[in-house]
Amino acid sequence: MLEPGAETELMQAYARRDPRAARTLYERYASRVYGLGLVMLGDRAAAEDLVQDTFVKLWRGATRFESSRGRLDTYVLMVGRSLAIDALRRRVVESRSLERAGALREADERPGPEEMAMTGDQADRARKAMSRLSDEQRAALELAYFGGRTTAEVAEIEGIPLGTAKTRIHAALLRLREAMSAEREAEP
Amino acid sequence: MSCTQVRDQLLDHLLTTLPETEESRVRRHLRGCAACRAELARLGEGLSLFSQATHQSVPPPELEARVLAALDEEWREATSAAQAVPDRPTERRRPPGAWLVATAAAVALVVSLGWGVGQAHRADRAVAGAASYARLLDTLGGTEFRVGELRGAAGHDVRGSVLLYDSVWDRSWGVVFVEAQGSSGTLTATLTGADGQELAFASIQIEDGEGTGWLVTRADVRAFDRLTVRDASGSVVASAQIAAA
Repeated sequence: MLEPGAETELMQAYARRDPRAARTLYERYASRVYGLGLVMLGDRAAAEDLVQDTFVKLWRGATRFESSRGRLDTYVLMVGRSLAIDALRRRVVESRSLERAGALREADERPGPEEMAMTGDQADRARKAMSRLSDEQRAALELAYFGGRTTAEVAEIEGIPLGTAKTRIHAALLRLREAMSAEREAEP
Repeated sequence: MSCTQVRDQLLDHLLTTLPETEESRVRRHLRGCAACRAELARLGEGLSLFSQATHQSVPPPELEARVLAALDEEWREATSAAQAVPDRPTERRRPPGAWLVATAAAVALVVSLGWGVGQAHRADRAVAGAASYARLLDTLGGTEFRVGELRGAAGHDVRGSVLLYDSVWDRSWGVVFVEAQGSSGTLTATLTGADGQELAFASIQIEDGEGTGWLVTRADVRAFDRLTVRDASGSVVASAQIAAA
């Protein structure tokens, strides 16, 4: 991760249309946005579109990024997630139209397991850290993150009090962080 | 907003699911609270790890060239649009409501510059904001922002500032901030152009010595360079000369 000041400088350079900044951002975040598209949208073409749309939207709002408000990677991911949710909503509308028209579904373009495979040591460590979460914590976090749900909606869907939903997500995020720190310290 | 209240909403802030009004309040608190920012950073790190664990996948190699080409096209379109500014194109391509986004962004900028943009002790901040200003204009597609310092007429303790924004794409607008210590009631603010043409702001209601007036118009506001503020009796209480920011 870059220092907060460096993240702001990178986004300012991107706002100025610096191609090096564009490439740096792509190298750092494209794999996660692409993976997000595969998970949320379920096919390669949609995931590629999501990456393109995310980077264009990031440029349009590059001057709005403030490192004091949060990390750049979560900012990028939230932009991508928002676009993915919009795409899903459009898809629901389109599928209803197709159903009404009696159209056939196109061949399944879902990615294969090798394509879904995560990459890199960091991702492997993150996956190990994920195993430290309880099923309840993981479910609440996935619902909030992939489902774009508010904590109140997570509580309603899971049938749990709002405070419990917040505690589960909060604890999951902090546990991931702690588990990752432990993994790093355990390295030779 | 207290730290306890902010912490309670920090997850929804992080996940960008807060309603806009709540989001603004949380952001305002975060700007001035290192402890809550640190907590947000911890949660953000957790979220980043979650994303790495659940969805990191190598995109096809050709995607990078495609994305960079799309960006290049976007940048060229933005440049073409900026070069078309002097002609004030009749076809405005931004969606209705874009002016509102512009307004919010610019007001944030003006507030960051502070009251009375002409005041010497704020000059450093204004200079520091110049780069942000240029980027903001570029992003919004506007012609320019112009500002003026409102000075009280003889016998009137009134001051403030006025900001005008001329948009290529959408409605132009202006905002006037008035500080009138110990006063209350309604003021009117009117823009005057070199040819004597006038444009009126919405009336300014002074409460606790402060008030704000707005003007949203499809007219070209570039020709207006003077603002006059009058009280209910029609007497001039303050005026401002407006120039490029």
